[in-house]
Amino acid sequence: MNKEEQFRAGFSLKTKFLIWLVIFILMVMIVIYIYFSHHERTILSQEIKLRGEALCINVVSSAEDFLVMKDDLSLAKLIYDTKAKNKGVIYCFVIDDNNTIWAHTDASLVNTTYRVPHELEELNTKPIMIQERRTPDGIEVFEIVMPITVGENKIGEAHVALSQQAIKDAVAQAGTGVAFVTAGIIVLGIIGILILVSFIIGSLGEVTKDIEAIGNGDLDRKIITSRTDEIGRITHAVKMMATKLKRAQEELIEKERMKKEMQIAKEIQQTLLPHSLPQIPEFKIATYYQSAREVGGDYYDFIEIDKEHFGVIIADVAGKGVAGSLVMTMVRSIMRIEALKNPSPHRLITLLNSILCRDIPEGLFITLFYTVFDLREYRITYCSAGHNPAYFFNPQEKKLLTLKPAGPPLGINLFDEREFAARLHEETRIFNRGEILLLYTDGVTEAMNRSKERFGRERLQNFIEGNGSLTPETFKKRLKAAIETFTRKEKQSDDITFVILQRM
Amino acid sequence: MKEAEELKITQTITGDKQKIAILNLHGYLDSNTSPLLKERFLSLDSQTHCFVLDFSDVEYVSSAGWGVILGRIKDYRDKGGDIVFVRMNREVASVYELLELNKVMKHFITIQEAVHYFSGEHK
Repeated sequence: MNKEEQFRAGFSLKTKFLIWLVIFILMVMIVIYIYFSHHERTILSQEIKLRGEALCINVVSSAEDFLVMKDDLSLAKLIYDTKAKNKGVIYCFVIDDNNTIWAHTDASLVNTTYRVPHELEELNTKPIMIQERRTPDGIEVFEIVMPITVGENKIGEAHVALSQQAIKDAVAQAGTGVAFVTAGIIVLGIIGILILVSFIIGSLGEVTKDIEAIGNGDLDRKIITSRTDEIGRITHAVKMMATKLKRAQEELIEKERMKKEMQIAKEIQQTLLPHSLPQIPEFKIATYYQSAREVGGDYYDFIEIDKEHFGVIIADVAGKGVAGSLVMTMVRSIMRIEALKNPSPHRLITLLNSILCRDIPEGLFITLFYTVFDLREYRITYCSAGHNPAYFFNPQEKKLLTLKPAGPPLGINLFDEREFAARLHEETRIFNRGEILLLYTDGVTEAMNRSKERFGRERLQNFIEGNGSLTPETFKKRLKAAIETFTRKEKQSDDITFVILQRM
Repeated sequence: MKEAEELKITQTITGDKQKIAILNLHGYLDSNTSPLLKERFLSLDSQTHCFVLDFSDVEYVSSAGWGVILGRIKDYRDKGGDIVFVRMNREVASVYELLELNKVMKHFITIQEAVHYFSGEHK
């Protein structure tokens, strides 16, 4: 027997109800029967005794004269009349002081001596005596005995016996009545319980089925009730439970989905970032990328355009998740293909924007800083599409330049290609020996500590001025440490990315 | 872990012929809260396409926040409306300028000026 079956074994609630009801009714009726039969018996025996007393008094008052006059005929008549005219008189007789029977309803006993049966007491001096006895024929009677007196002298006794059969009949009748009523109540009770129980248990059965269905995972089950009692409350509670369970389950699924999406996005992003640094004559390069709690949209890349030119891109896609990662994939592909045909950053970024604007999802845009290195002249040409300024530092002169050519972010769809081209500016400058270029995303300046203070541009500028003569690798380690010291390893909501290039 | 920041948006609809929605934003507009702003834009879509965003109580706007605004602005402009800003704090304004949004969107010092911009434009 498995656990499920174990709970289905045993009596149903309906059977239990019925058994208890029958037991209860029987108990009540037995108590009622005992009480009433006792009561009836008391009242009836009282009544019989009173009647017997009255009869006996009557016999005594008439028998007195007859006994004095020794008129046995009149006495016999009195005795016969008493028995004939009064129902329930079993026997009746008169004796004198010597216990000689003068008159008896059983004529054969006249003139014999009366012997007090062993179960009865003698009258002696009592005025009246009522005793219960069973006659030799087996009839239960009350025998009433009174003395017959003249003045103060007792001259004989009158005995009248009345049957107790009336009591038995009445009690039996009452018993039959009680039995009938009991049977009636039990039948009515069973019908009532069946109706009531199927009314109550019926709904309970519905709720039970609902709960079992929910237990088996059917959270969409329609649960309906119009009841306002406890069963209604249970049903409602079950309904609420199912709804809440379903919501919790959906939230969990949504959370899992988001987690999965973030995971996919992270994987996409990590495949997009360069796995090794390019070897560029006379340049040292270091890169740093730190992903955020939720994957951000930072991206950097190096493109070898030809033997004399290479491009460096740093970009930030506004919008997280898979959509952002896919946009980043688009940017990467377009840049890698088109950079070879378009050596001018201005032309390349304008083209990139036109392509992106066609397909970019609403609410996404990209900021990007693109620099092309000309290795013949050691000249850089760069464009910024709404990106944070880049920093250019000369350690000998301790001169820090902020590179911020004008340009709107990519993908915002507010102007046509010509207008975008007009707004996007291109700048150029010579890259001298020892000079250092820092490209970064706003994750650096927006890095936040526990008291919601940001790392900020000023701190970054001071850092460059203090560390700008180090090699890119050391510079990277120091900047990373500086940011971590500032944020005290507080988890960041945005990716932190930077690229350092130094001409040897 | 950075705790989730809150954003509260209260709205006032003004203007007679041209309905203008003034949205007062309070808190942080970032990737967690920007869907609230997007929902608000969409819920008001049947009433107006003219929005004044009161940024006086906005402490920070992330790129996701700017994305929601930039995502709606083209559609509103095509329908004769616009989104303009009022009272941006210095920190928010620096990003606004960095992204060169100051060159494509309007920013006003007072709500009256912003409302006047819409009513004047549509006279």
